[in-house]
Amino acid sequence: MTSTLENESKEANTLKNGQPRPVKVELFSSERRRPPKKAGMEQHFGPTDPKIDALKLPVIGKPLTKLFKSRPFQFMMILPNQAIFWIVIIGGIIGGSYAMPAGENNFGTVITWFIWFCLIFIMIVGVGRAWCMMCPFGGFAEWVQRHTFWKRTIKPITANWKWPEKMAKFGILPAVGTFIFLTWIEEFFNIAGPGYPIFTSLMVLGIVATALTVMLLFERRTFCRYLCPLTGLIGSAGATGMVAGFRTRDRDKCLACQTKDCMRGSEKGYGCPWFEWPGSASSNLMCGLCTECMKNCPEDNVGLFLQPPLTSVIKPDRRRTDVGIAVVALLGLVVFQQFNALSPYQSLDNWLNSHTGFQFGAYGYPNPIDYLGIIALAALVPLLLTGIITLLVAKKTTTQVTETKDSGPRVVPSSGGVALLEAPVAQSTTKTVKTSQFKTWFVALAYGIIPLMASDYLARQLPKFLSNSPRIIAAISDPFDKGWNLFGTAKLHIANQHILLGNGVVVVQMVVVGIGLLASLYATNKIVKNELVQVSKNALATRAITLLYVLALGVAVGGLYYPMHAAF
Amino acid sequence: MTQVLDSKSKNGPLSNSLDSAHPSVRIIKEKCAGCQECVTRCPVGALDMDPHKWVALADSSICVGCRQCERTCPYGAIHVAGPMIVGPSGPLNLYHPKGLIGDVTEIRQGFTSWDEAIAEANRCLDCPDPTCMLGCPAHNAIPDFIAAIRAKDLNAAHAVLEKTSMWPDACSRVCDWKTQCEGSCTWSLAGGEPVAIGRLERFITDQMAVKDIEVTSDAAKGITVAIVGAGPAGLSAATQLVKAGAAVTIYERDRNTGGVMSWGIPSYVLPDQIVDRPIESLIKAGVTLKTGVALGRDIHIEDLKKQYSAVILTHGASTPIKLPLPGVDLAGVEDATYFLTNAKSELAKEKPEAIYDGANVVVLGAGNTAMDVARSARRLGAKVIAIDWMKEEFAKVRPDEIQEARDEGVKVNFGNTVESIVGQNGVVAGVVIRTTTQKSASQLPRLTKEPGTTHHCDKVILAMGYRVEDLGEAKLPKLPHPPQKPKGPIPDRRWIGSGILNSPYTKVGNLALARESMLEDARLPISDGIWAAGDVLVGPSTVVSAMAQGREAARALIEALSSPKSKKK
Repeated sequence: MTSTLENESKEANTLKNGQPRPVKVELFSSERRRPPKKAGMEQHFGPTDPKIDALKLPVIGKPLTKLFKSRPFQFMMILPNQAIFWIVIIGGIIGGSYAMPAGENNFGTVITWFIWFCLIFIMIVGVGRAWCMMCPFGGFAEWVQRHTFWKRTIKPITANWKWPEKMAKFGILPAVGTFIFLTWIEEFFNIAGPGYPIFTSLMVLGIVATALTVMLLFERRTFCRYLCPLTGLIGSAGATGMVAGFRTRDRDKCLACQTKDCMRGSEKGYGCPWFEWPGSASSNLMCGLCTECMKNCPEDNVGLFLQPPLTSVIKPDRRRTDVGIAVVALLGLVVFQQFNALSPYQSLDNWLNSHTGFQFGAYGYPNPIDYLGIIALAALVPLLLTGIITLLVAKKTTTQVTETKDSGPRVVPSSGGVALLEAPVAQSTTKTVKTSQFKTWFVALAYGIIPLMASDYLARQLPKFLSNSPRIIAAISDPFDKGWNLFGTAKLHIANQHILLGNGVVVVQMVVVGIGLLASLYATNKIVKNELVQVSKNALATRAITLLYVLALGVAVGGLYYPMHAAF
Repeated sequence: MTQVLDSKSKNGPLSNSLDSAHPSVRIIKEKCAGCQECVTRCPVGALDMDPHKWVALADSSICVGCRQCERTCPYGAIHVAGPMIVGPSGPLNLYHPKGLIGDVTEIRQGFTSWDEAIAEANRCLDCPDPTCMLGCPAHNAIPDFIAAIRAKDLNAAHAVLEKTSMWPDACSRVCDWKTQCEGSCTWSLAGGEPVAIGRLERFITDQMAVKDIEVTSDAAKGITVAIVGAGPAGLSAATQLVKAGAAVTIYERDRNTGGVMSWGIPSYVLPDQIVDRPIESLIKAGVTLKTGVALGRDIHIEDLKKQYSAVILTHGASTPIKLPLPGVDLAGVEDATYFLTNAKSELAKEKPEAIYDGANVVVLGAGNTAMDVARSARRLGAKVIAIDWMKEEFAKVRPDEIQEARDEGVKVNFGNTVESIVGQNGVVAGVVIRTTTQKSASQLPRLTKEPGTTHHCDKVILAMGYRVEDLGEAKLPKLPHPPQKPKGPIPDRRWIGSGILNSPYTKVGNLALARESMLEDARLPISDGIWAAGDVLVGPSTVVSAMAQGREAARALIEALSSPKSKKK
């Protein structure tokens, strides 16, 4: 009797996939393994496979390859930032005269809030996860976890917990949550105000301590992928970026690979700390640009690919719901930061504080109720508008839903008297259900407003940068507020100059948001054309209403800068 | 509702509830990177890819719960809950002697019918990435010979075995499958009952004897090789060399060949004709055998090097470990080799006598050799106690051998040690026994504070294990060097991908990987033109490891010395 546990081939000398059983005894015969599935591969990856491999470009390709293959590379990128942020931490604690206008020339304040928090958005929008490559928070924690600066060590110092399934379901949303929480802390203590330098130090120290704790508990860069306050922002806003990340040069080679050194690690490097696979990367959402995969690949099959800006906004076949929700939540957050600069907000906050007793000496702003409430309301706007759009123009569709119930295993006695179990027989019932198009439309259109959201964050940081960034010239000569003059620049007049003030700043802000708006209009138009028109009732109406929606959002967020009067 | 049958519990070790009668597969889409490590390995084809999200898709109704997908996933993105869909293993078919005296019938009978064998073979999933092959120290192509059983093709089965093993009839009797092939079976790795690979291999050799050796290539034509030691390593090396056309001379210290299999393993476990089969076949194929010739005494390595193209040293570890116990020199204290040799010759008689009738025998040690000693003593009429200082759960002996010994009336006492042997008039009268404790497998047992008790006995047999002889030429420089860990800082990723290192139920994968280093060691000559394999290379080990190392040493020798012009027939 033949067992129902037997494979498709009934003959002893044929393998499952129909190939003849190999004659040679090989421990890891690829002929035994099932061939990888490729159906839909072209359609899924075709649109997002970038064409330009920076490592194969003339002149710079070879030096870049050599640079990325060297183990100290990432350490060298992190080191300057690491030094800066430790000076920030120490400088804020030992320096920062409280008599002066708080933090105006303190190195920590200047470098963090007047320069870093603006430059980072340019990096995000232009490149993607460039900051992650050189991040001193995750970087520091990783040095401790690996107990080395750049060597390949074997036993990391960590409890090696896996990020729980219940949390993984939410993707980057917990990270958005930590960002919203951190921003509240930052507002409450007026850290970026700028406030007392020591608060900046403590905040940075807090981020480092959190990153370190999570890295010592969880495997690899779980912190960076799921919890870091910046990861939600960088990942979603970074979709506009031109660096696609480290990806496969030949996907068939990746599928045939027996070792998957890029994921598991090898003597040459660590397995991907970001839990990615170059063979299946189709957006720049999660590649942290750490270079471990291309160090590991035994086939030299990993390149650093470049893509036209907005590619990861427009093109991904797999749109993530968590990213969609993150985008509107982050938009809500930045809109709060615009709204809180307006006088009605002050009244609201004071009123709430007096009625909820949320006042601790001089500290009480922002009341968590108005903080979360305004963010939620602001996030609800694109949500509701998308809902209305869906109601108006989305085609009503139905889907076939198949439910499979199995009858349970059946016991079949063999003639030898030994009972065998036959695989259960599946009984399927298919029914037709109405599908809601809302999720499809919401997520697609949320991706479309990424450029607008990103530009709004950049614009929000501009007043600090434009009015106060020259202060760095003086601050570097006296990083700890001890009256030093290390480079002779502590008293330079130019440090008190402003690049731009007042209305000039507002104009720049609106221009920046305007550029973001144009990019969002462009992206939304493409997304609608590629994905939504076929599920809409009327192509023209759909294009019109979605572009109008984006325009309205853009005008609203950009317009807010006018009454804000370049507030910090 | 039909009951799911599996060995550990009603519903398998990982089921969520008593009602779950079927495994269910959960894929954490956020973590799945679409690498298809799981898809390409699923034995039953329950995994596919979602073409839109490029993540794995599972059809739980097909899943049998082997959990290979879970073990291979680099990012822990797939989980299986529920029972394993596989029936229980076939019967052991143990022979229970009515009267033990002089009975040398094989205790383990193996499968006795095609139906039993095929029913067992049907439990094999024919895995695309078989971990059983990794667990087998000789890397036998296990799924292939099991497939041949299903097809009732004994010739094909033997052809598969012959590639890697010259003694399948022995290995399928003496191997510790739990730490090797069966322990690495995907069902074992999932916490269940493995395919009875040992008994299936045995069934093949029971139904059709291993064929005589044939010369199949001339890759080693013109090469002359001296092999010192006719145990599993030496005979395996000789087989490999003869098949390739080499001229082989085997030097053996004892009168019989087979090494530990000849003097160490009793015939009710391993029948004599199986021990003798390979050397008979080798002699038929033209090998010269010189017995009664000892290394260092009658022959010297330097002379052999001059006489032959190459030398393979496989003289094993036959020196018994002797404890410096008070009273160890009393009359009536013997080492296991001496006892087993005498026991074997008595039991080989047509009407063996109960030469130890009524004697109280104490066996020091409860390892495999000690069990052989104890059971042989029982067959010669003795009352037997075996004493071992380790805690039973940490003991490395095969659990089925302990059970068989106990079934035959041997008292096996773990957690005890002999402090001294007491005598009267120069003859053994008793042993003083102390109790021990042991906290973990890696710690040595320690004496407790309890006072010793005296146990009266007439004979003490030392069966504490063996070591490589350390006198003269037999001791090789820097050997033995049993590798404790696999070579290289990071395991071969193909081993990692197979999932054998990633079972929450067993560490058998680590053992298998460490054994791999031994095979690599055997390939390297220990000096110019001299190879070593087996216990002499790695310390006291197993028959199958010795056989595999002998094969690899011979292969390496052939590669090193053969002319590039020779071609295979």
